[in-house]
Amino acid sequence: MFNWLSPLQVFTLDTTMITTVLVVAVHIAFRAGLFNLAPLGFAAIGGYTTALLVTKQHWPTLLGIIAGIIGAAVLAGLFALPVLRLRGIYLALGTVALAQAIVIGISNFDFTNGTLGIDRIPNRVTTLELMILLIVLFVLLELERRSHFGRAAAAVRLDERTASGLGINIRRIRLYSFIISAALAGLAGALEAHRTTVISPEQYGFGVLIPIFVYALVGGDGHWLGPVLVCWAIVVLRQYIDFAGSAWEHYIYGVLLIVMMMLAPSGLTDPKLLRKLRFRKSRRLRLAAERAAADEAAAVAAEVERAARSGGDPVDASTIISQAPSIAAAP
Amino acid sequence: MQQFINGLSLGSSYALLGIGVTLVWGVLGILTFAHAQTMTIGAYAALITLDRGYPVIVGVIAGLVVAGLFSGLMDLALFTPLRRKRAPEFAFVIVTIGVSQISDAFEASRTRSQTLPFPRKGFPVEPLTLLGRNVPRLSLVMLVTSVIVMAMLGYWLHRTKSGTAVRAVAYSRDTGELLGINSKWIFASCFFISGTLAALAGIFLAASSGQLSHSSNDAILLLAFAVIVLGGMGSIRGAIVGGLLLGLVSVYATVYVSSVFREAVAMLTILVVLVVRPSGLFGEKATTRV
Repeated sequence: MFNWLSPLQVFTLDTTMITTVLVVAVHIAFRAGLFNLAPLGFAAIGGYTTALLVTKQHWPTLLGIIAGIIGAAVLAGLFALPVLRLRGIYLALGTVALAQAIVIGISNFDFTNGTLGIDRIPNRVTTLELMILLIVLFVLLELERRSHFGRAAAAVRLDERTASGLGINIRRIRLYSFIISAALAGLAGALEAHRTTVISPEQYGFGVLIPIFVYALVGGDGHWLGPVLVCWAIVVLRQYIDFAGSAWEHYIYGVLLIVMMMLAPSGLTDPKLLRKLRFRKSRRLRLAAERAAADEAAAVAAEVERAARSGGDPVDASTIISQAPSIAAAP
Repeated sequence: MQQFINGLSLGSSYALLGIGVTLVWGVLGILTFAHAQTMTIGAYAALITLDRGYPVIVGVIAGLVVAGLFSGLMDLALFTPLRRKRAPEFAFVIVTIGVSQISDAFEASRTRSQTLPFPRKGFPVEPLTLLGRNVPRLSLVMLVTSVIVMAMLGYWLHRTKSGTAVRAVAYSRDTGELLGINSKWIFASCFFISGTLAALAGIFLAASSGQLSHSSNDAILLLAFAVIVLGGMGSIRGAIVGGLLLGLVSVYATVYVSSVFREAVAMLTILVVLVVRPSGLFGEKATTRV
């Protein structure tokens, strides 16, 4: 089906789709206000679970991937109890530590083959399957966003106390968001393992998270489509700035992070940002209307003065005003 | 006994790391991921100066000044506008991630991602025999340096007028400004000092390992955070005690349990302390952490 694409393009397409899943995972956590820096740890769990089960126990690939998702979700559930007690930057710090602990654990255990990683993982994930999976995921995401849970999660991010006052169980929302985020990250990790066929612990370092982070933050936490579109846009952009070398990519990510935080800390899909843009536009229109009214009033005043100076019949001011209804209408 | 000395000597480098972070993160409450890059920039500046043939003291001062300026300018250019906009605290974290990304890319492209040898000549690196035990002299110097720096920081923050102003601004910026404190310069000077301390740690670590690369300090950033979390937020003395304790735990865990712990001890410390005793050993109680 994808024969008309070059192998490199297919590779880029596959990578982008898997990255999209990871971006969505980060978005789900951000939407509930969880500054979660651990998705790569959970991706590592997902990848290693399926890799070990499929290569050592000869499980079918589909079951392996599902086991990867469940493994990541269960681990998130276990660690949620201590980690979700933390707030704000302490949550960020705790999740960084958690992700690093997972990666260090993997690179030191024997059954994960240490820092060497696992190779010869069967490559059984096709582009078409990934595409179908992504479409299904998007439909589910949109349904979830419109559901009670999705709205409640957004409310928790915007104002925890108000959300709590409205009867939303904050602990449950945070817990479920954390687990869903981890499960999606596990899915992305499992797919990635079956695409690259080789995995090793260094694949899940903190530096790998930075691009994902850029997509999620620039896209904003208002709607899942924002981060996804930003991810795709940057992938397309990257095809064109290839000639500039890989250092430029880092510069661009760094600058994007800083500029976004300075201008729109809640990302491009933030309803507040959109409202502000709309307000600015309407204010410009209102100013133009006021200026037109003022011009008209000045013209009327000049007319009255000229009539008075010429000594002729003084023009009744009220008739002029009635000729210019916009003055009466002006505030 | 030798293990104890090894632990203390590892801990003294951790303590120096912690001292660098404690002012910005411990006192002002800004989690900065750019700290590792500040250390590296200071070490690079020292390396360039030393390669030109200047004496060690000039190299160290050059490193301190360059890293301090980097850190102070970062505050003036990026954090001051953010503060004026009353940005949420995670915005600061993300900006520091962006800064570290940019400076890492810059250093990598300038050095072509190579590891450069760091000249150890002039640094006190030869071993010292004390009471029949082998004591690395550089660790001893690091320990003494961190204790001196700790004493100076503690004196400054608690006994002088400008130090009190720092603590007032850290507690509440608005109240501090009402009392006539120029919070902009307080923050900038704190960042400058924190940059110089970061460079101090960076130079010592580069001298003890004898090499320097653009990513050589990335892994120890979490160690620095672990030292602060263990010692307690806002506590200068906690940074030293936390660092030494972390070094001891790390060495003993490696010897008696498994070598896995040497790398994982920082992460486990962060997780365990944040969960069990979020205020750390010497920190003040705060409700915002949990």
